[in-house]
Amino acid sequence: MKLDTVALVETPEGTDLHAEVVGLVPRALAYTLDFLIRMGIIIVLGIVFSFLGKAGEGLYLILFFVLEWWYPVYFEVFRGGQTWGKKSFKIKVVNDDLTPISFGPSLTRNLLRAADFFPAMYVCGCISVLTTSRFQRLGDLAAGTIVIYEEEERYVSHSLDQVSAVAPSYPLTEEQQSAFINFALNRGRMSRDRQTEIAEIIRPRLPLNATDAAKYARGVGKWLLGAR
Amino acid sequence: MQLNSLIVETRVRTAWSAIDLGFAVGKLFWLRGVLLYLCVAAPVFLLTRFVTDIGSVLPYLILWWCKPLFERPILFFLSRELFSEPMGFTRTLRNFRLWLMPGLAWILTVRRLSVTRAMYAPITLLERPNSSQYSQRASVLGGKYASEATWLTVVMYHVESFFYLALLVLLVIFFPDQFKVSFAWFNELSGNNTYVDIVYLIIMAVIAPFYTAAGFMLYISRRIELEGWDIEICFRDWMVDYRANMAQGQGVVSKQTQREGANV
Repeated sequence: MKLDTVALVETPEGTDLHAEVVGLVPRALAYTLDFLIRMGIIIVLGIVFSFLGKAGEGLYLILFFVLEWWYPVYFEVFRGGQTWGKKSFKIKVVNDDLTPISFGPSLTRNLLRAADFFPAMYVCGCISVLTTSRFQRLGDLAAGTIVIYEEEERYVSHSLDQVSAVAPSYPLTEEQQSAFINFALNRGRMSRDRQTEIAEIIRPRLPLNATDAAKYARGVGKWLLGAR
Repeated sequence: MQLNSLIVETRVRTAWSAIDLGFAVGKLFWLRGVLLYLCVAAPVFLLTRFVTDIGSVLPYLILWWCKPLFERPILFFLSRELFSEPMGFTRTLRNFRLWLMPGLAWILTVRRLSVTRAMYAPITLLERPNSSQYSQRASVLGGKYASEATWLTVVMYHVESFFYLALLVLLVIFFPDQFKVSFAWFNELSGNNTYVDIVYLIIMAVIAPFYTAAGFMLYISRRIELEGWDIEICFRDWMVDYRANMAQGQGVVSKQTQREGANV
């Protein structure tokens, strides 16, 4: 088993679901962004309510409380597990079986921020994220939630315009399919020599008429992406 | 370089995901990383104690400036262990010639102030390019991930300071009679108190394996992408299976023909 940052969930139907869990750095940055947004709102509210005297002060404190404790809960429950900060980093909170988070777990994980904050600046939460295998802070552990990356559409298919699709003549496993697709998309801009070097590895499985191995492998990749 | 022996999953990742993987790697080799760090950092720490005047800011500056040097044994150790080459703590120390000097002058001068140094350190240590090759490699490898590598440094710098702050808060919470939060106390803390400085050195060492590993994984995952390691590994595994199947198939066929031959 190779080291990876993926949370695997087996459903009762026997299908495997997986999602990439999010580590300390993006989570800390998303939190910081949320924090700045909240501070911005609180400062603006403070200025507005300062004109309303004592009543304004009371209202301000109530709003401060609501914003501080319910801002994440609201976004997690009603906005698909994403506060603004999380959204900008394309990450979201889900239950650890990858179902959407509901009110109870969201409240638990956000009330336990106090535990994560202890003794200062979220150091306990930080240690917890660093040491657990699915990067959970204490609140996550208690609520049974994880933070994952949103699935991204990573294909830019116009780079394949000059390639003609080739149907593979034998069944391919899932890994082999993604290898062909990655080969065709050539995200790392490999040189032609390097492409040929890699494609020549599968020479024994190429049809006899495929003289250019790289061209053939790209064609299969394009076919697997849906082109015919 | 045997790609098949990589201990991490090779796939095309985002830079954030590469950093996360780095933290998983850092956790796996954490204890040995911390000890390696201290092996280099502690002598320098002692030197700064004896050489400079007490009360000066110089010891801190020297320690901070030498951070890339302290991270080198961790990086060397990780670079071998990542390919399942058993390196371990003592063998890393014994191989100090391979990681102590090469490119040291570079990383302690012009390359020291780079905020993306964790990602570029592997280039200096493992590829040992000359300066023009280096800038070429750095722009090819680093350009795309520069922003995330910068944030890695920023976040880890803060984590380090927060650990320190948290320890101070803990002291105040658990020993309220001995420690009172006051300017005098902070002055005492920042005035070359040996115990305080040792604690800070240990915090540096605790964070370093994560930071180094995250930078190294940024470097590795960029190479996976640039050189198609994921594809190469998949194709090679496939061919190994294919040849094994073919050999097995031929074995079956030849046995059948033998049996048929016997029947005839």
